[in-house]
Amino acid sequence: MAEEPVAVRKLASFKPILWGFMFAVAMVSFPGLVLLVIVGMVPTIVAFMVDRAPKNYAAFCVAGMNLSGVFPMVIDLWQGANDIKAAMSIITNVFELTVMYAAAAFGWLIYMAIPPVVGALMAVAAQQRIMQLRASQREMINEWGQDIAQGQAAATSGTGQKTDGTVASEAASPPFQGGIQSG
Amino acid sequence: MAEATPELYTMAADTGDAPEPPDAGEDAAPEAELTSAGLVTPIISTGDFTPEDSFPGEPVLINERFEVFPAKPLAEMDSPSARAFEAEDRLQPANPVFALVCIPDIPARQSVISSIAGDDLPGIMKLHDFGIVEWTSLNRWCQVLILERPLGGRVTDALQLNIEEFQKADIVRAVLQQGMEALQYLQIRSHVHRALRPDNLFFRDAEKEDIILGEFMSAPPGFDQPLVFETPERAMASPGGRGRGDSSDDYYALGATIAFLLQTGNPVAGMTAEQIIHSKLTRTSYQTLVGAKLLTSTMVEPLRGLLEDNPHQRWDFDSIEMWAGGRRVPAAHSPARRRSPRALKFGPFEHTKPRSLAYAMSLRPDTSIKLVRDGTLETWLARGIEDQELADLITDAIAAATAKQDETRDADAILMSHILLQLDPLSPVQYKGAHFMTDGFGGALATETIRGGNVKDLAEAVAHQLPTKSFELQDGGLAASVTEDQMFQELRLHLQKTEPGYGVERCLYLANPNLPCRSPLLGGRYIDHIKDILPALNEIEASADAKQRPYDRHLAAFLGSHFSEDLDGFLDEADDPDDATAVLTILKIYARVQAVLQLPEMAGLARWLGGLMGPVIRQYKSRATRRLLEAEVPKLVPIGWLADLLELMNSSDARLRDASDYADAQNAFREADTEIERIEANSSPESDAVQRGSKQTAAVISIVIMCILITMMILTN
Repeated sequence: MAEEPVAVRKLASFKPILWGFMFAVAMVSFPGLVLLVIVGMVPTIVAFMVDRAPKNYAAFCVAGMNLSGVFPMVIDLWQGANDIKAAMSIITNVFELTVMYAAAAFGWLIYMAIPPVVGALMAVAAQQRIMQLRASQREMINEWGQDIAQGQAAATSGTGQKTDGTVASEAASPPFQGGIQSG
Repeated sequence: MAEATPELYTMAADTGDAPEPPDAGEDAAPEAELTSAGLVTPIISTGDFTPEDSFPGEPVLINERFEVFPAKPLAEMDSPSARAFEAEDRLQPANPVFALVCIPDIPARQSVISSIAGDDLPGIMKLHDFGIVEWTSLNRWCQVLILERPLGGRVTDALQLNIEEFQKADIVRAVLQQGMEALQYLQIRSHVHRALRPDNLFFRDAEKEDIILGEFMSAPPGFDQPLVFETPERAMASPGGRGRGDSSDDYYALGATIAFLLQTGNPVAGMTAEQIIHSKLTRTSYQTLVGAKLLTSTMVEPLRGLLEDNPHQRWDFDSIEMWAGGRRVPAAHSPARRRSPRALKFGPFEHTKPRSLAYAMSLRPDTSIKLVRDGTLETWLARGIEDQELADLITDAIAAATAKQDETRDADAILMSHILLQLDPLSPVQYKGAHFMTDGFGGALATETIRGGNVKDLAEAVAHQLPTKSFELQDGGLAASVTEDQMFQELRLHLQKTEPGYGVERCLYLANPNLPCRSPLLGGRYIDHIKDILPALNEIEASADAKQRPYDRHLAAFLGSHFSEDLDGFLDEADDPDDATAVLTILKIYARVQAVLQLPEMAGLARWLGGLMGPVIRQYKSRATRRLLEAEVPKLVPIGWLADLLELMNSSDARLRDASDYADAQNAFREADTEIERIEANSSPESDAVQRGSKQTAAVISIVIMCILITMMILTN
């Protein structure tokens, strides 16, 4: 077990090499596709660069929509010549370039528009939960008295502790003539 | 004799003056001054027992048979501690009876009453029946004795008539003969009369031939006796503390009675109580009470025998039989009494005997202690009486008292008591204002309690173990009085506690088993048996203050001393400062008493106690349980069985369940609190959690849309 961190560190050091190797293979095997993806996914790359948040939610938003915009061109390329020339024709087509980048922009839009809405929904849900808990506490006070909300010293019963006046007044009314004295 | 009788038989009954016990110091008023030369019966109080305005009501019925007429007082049949009224036997109207209504609070001799009621005892006024009735004019419950009505009146009235002296002598001789027989029968029944005096002798028949002794059960033994009819040592005690005594005390009283009936002059006229007792101690009772003016000299011998100061040498029934049969009764051989050739002057007398000095010292404790401290007493004992052993005992007692002087303020009083007992072992225990025979402690305590007297001195005497000291100095020592001493040790233990159920009240009921309970809650009812306590409370409930507990110091002490089981653990808890514990314990006590004594249902007491259960119910945390209990109590009240009420209120299962559920509820409440705090902290739009969650949601939405679009594109191609 003591050797495990060393192993993880070694794996991490291999990661860029592995990515580099894969990129090289992809570049050699599908140069057009790689070029199209690199150019089409520029907004995503930028988003990853500017998003300092730990989980990179903004980048994921942009990436998801950006990839949706790039994917039709990837299909066209894949069904066509699938070489650098075909890729260049797509890249240089303003319309198709606009589609790819507009999709990325929609990703940014999602990232900016969704969180306030979700936050509001979450606040509403939290208030609902709080109300449920408060109601439950009120029921407990009705059943056990105010003591249950004040400190926890009088936890045990049968010790002869007297309840305070509030509790006494909450007790049921005397049940019979000359009934039980509340004092 | 004739000129002596008016003074002799004057009763203090109508004066209302309560005599004080012999007091301390030179200025102490001798008892005799308050009681007309010691010849008048002492009383507690009769001021509130006035016949004129007491009896507007209807006749009262005793045991469905005897009708008592409160509007018809019979003053001539009054007893010192009871008032007489006309009565009628419904079954036998010809049966002459009268009623004696006992003064409330005076402890009547209940065991004697129960024992002889309905019995024909030769020579004793017959007690037909007895009962407890509410005497409306007093607003108190009183014991009523239905007694045989003597047709010939009092013997003393007959002696005042203008009859020949020989006839008077015959009457006195009959008193001796029939009185001895009556005392003999009482002795066989293990009773003592202790109320034998001239004015308590009656003629049963109109012909004035059959003499009977009057009633003796309306007051403690010796309580009603003028002190001349008491032996010197019992006369030294306060009236309530004279003790039960034994048959020899009755014989002495008969001798004194005969002496007074037989004389034409009063030999103790004008003498104070101190002078009478001093005379008895120094000159013998016979020489004190028998003068020269006798109706006849034929009865001198029995008089001398009956008035013998040594109880072992005193004449009894057999001696009188021998004398009446003409045989010679062996002469008494009293041991030679030590006498000092040099008299010691103390008080009004010069003393040559330790006993008379002890009595004089007991009346003057302030000057007595000087006599002790300056060594005069030891010197007199050693050189005058020539009793070095007694002198050494006194020296030791002084040394012991000096050693304890820093421990107690009462060292001098205790020392004086010890010295008085050393000087006169037969004398009463005398401590500060308390003067009582060891068998008269109960009566003394009852008397002092009733008249609001000095109970503290009596309690201190027991606390300082003075009765034990007295037992040690009696013939046979402490071993001969183990049972009596155990009682005093028990009383001493109870005096050390001050809670309800202990203290003086507990001693009062332990030492006076027949004393009615003096609890103010009982509203004057005469309750002298534990089985009547709960029914009385049950009855009182209708008019009682519902907020007041049916429990006080007297009830606690009465229950503690009369109940067959040990209630002490309950008594401690019943005084708990917590209301719930206290009322629940009271319920436990009464439920136990009801169950053990198999008493009937008591709805009133159940309602009273049920109404006090508020604090007990509030011990339960659960409101639902409280409501349930409050609903159940009224259902149990009509049943009147206190054990059911106790079971409902004191269910251990319910208490454990309540405690467990309460703990669970506390945890749940705490957890809810924690969750609310957490939600409140994390539900604002600026909070990290909301920010993180909403952005995460946006990312997920983006990726989901991507997946959908890509899937659709793949499918369409």
